[in-house]
Amino acid sequence: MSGIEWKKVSGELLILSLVEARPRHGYELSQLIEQRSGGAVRFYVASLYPLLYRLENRGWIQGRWVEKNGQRRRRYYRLTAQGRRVLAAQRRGWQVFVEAINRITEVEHA
Amino acid sequence: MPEKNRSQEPEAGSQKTDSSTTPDWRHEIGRRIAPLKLAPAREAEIVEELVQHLEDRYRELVSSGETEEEALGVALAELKGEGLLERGLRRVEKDAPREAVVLGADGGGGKRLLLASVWQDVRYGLRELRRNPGFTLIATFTLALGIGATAAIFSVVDGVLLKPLPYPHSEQLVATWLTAPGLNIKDLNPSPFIYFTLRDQNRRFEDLGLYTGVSRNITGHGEPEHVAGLDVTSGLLRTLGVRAMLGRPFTESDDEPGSPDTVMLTYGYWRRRFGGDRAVVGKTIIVDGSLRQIVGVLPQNFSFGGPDLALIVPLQLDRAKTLLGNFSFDGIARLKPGVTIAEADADVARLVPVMLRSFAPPPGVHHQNV
Repeated sequence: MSGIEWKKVSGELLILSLVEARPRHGYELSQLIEQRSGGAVRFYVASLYPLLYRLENRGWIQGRWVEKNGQRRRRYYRLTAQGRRVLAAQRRGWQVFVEAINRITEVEHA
Repeated sequence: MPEKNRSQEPEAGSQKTDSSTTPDWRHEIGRRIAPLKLAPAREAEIVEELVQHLEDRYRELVSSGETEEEALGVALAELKGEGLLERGLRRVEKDAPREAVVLGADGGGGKRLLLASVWQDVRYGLRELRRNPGFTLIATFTLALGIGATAAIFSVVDGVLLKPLPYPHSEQLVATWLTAPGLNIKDLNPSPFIYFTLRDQNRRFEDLGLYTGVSRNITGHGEPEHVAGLDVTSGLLRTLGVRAMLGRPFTESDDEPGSPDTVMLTYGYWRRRFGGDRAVVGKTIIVDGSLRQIVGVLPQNFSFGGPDLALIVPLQLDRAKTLLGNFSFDGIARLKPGVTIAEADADVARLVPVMLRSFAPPPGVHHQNV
């Protein structure tokens, strides 16, 4: 898998992971990514929403407008059954990738 | 917090709906995506969602001590100039289902007359098509004169799973879904009415199965836990060629609504939860509050549904209550020996009108429009 593909997959992996436990809206997703990565990873509007729509087109997440009492409606994204399987596969792939990189880059002892 | 871009001034086109409150994000986003010429309903939906995001961001910045001007600059910077949003959306939206109303309105002739009343119901456009499987179905099957059904070789899925398929003659396994080229819908998941039709009348598949992922709560035997499950028709295991390691696989009688509640455990779950107890078959566990009898344990190499899959439960579809629509399942089939994908496609396409005649549309959709 090329570097570009890994970047793409990692963005997908982040989103799928964050909607695994419960549905979340776009702003919440961007905040969580930033907070949990300690500010190292950021998704801005111009890249976050095209990614969300792409995942939705693929059937991995599903967006729904939800109106809560006294609040404007928001679009919440939930993980679909198909997305859950993709998430499991991407997690495994990512783990293999990270472990491989670690084995290559770890300091060699004389 | 994102790094502030203090050097960036509000862009020339930025406006405020009110001189003392929030900027006119709607204008900012609208002009950026206008070149995409999206269907109005879709464009409005995207604008609404992105406006909310920018409003939230702006308020957060202001409440954290930024001036309104600084907050405006930072939020606009996050739109990343003029082209990124448009380019990102262009790539995505070209693959998205289109507002099918346009197709109906332009269809002309008898097709248009046939569809007229449906289109009146489908005026909500793409959003409603997405929300309501019934409408999707109607639009799909009435419009697409060239509609076919496609099956894709299962090795496509294999690529996603990153491992070979451990099933006999896996070259005969195909994932099944429909496509509606007239609506630019590439993948329409199988539905119970499609499943019943193909199961009973197809000529090209040895067997086929329908399944869907479902999370399950397990109680009554050790600590309660939340596990991954699949609801499956019995044909899934036959199609894959999977036998039970212990006990028996699901049979057609397990598929019947009202038959005793049964469950099969995956090898991993059997080992973890039951310590590999071979006497587990015949015992019961509580799945989502209901007693289910364990009829079998799947073999260790059963890798369907991911590594965390704990159990599978019969998908007891009631044919008598099945309506058109409900494209929310996954399907897999085994081609008869020597049958090609194209031959299977042709056979499924032959059955599309049969499907439409055999099942009633959902409430609110008139059958004469199908």
